[in-house]
Amino acid sequence: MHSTFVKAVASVLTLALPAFIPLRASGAYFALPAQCTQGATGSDYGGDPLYGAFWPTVSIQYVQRNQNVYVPTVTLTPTADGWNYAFIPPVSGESYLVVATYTPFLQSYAAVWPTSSGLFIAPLPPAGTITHAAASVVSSATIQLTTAVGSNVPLPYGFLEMAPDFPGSSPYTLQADANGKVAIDCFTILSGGNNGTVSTPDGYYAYDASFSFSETNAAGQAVLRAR
Amino acid sequence: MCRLLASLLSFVLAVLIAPPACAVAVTLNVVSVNLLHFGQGSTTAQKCAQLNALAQTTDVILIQELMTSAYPCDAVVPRPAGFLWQPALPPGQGSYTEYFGVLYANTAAGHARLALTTTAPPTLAPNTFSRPPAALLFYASPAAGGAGRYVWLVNVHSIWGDVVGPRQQEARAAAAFGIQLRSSTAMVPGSNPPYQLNGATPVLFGGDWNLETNRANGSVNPGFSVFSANQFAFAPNNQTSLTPPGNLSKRYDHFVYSTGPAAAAALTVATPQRLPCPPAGFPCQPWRNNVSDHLGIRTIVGIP
Repeated sequence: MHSTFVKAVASVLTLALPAFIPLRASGAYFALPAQCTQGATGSDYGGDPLYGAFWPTVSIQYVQRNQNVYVPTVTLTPTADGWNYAFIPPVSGESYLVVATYTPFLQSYAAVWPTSSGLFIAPLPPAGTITHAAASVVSSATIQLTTAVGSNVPLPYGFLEMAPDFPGSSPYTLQADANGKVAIDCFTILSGGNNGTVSTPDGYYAYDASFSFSETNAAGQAVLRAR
Repeated sequence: MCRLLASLLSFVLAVLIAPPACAVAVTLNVVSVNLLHFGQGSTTAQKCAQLNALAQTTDVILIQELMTSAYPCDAVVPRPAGFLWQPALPPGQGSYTEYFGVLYANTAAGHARLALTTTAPPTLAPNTFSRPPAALLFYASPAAGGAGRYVWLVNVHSIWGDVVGPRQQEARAAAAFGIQLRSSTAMVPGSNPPYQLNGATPVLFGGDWNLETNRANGSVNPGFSVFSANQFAFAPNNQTSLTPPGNLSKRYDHFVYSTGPAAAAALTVATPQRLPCPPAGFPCQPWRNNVSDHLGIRTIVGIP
């Protein structure tokens, strides 16, 4: 994620939200598709459902000298109806982008402005909270794998790896069908494209790509292709 | 090379007192496995059951993607008798912090005996790893008793990132680290009599590199080129990752081991391979659902 994205999110939130208010959750709410709570792809991460024993992950970053800097220590505590995160702001008066990861394909975003240098505690943005104006959560998406970036030749049974948006994350691997299509239920479309790595059916690296919205198929699903 | 040397020396063995220099002094059965958020979620008991089963035939298990520093199984099932646990903490960013862990035979009957030293590894260059590898110096002795050998065991879980370049860069940085470990001349704290590493200590990496060692045409992946140019070898390059239905996917789990330059640092590594999918073969969905999205890898290591 580039620092411009952090700035853009912070900018949007500055306009949309009163500053200096600890937020229950910030940004636009999307009606969370049913697929996101029942059978979301990747919700078996660790063997547990989306709202089960598995802990979500939160990362917090800010911009310093035009570089994204991650807050080194963030704690996560379960509450009666979700999670609280806590961190000590390295720089007071700065805006911080909070990224909550529920599945490799479902992240929520929020921005906060801690007013002091003390411990800042707030509820984790629940699944379906999107702050980036051009991002959305769709009930299902199809990613078309091809033999190369920009190619229209399908890659049958190829592998697609996508990683959650936090440092240290590991990729989640899916295999395409005979037509090179990968179906994902509950998918966050990022405005800058969703990064992924494509491999051949025998498990060898093929290429890295950014997948972006291309068209809607006959079933009404968003189709993403490598650009 | 060892076999050739041993054959030549066999002609004069009758008059020699010392064994061939490349004879194996200690044999270790080693497993490396990424246990997918080990210690979180509701599948800890199944993971622990698999670890205990593996420990029956294994001297050292290198574990990646551990989410707690304490051994998660201690609250679930008894640890294999005679095995000890050593975590290592690489720095994390945000709420996500992964540890490494080593489960090793210390006094387990029928196993090699490993004693962990407190020798600090050489300092890593800053900002070369997102998640620095964890190196531990062990003194390994044969199961039957007798003199042991020092060996560095290194746990690795490379970053992912968005593109392949940083993964390759981390593998190259790991090679530089391995060279440092091998050539260390540090004193071993607590050794009796005092022992100073001789600059040729064998090194064994095990882990999830998020990178294949060789391409489809057999050429070495650029990420592993520094290893291969500096007398390190790597294996296996099998498909070890699993898709959600339990089918094999990527080639990410490898051992990397020193093969020189001095004979004392040359490990022999036999039949490195992925662990079988228990109990009924592929698709390996029970393992994928209850244990990990990686099958582990196993090898038998001979320390000269």
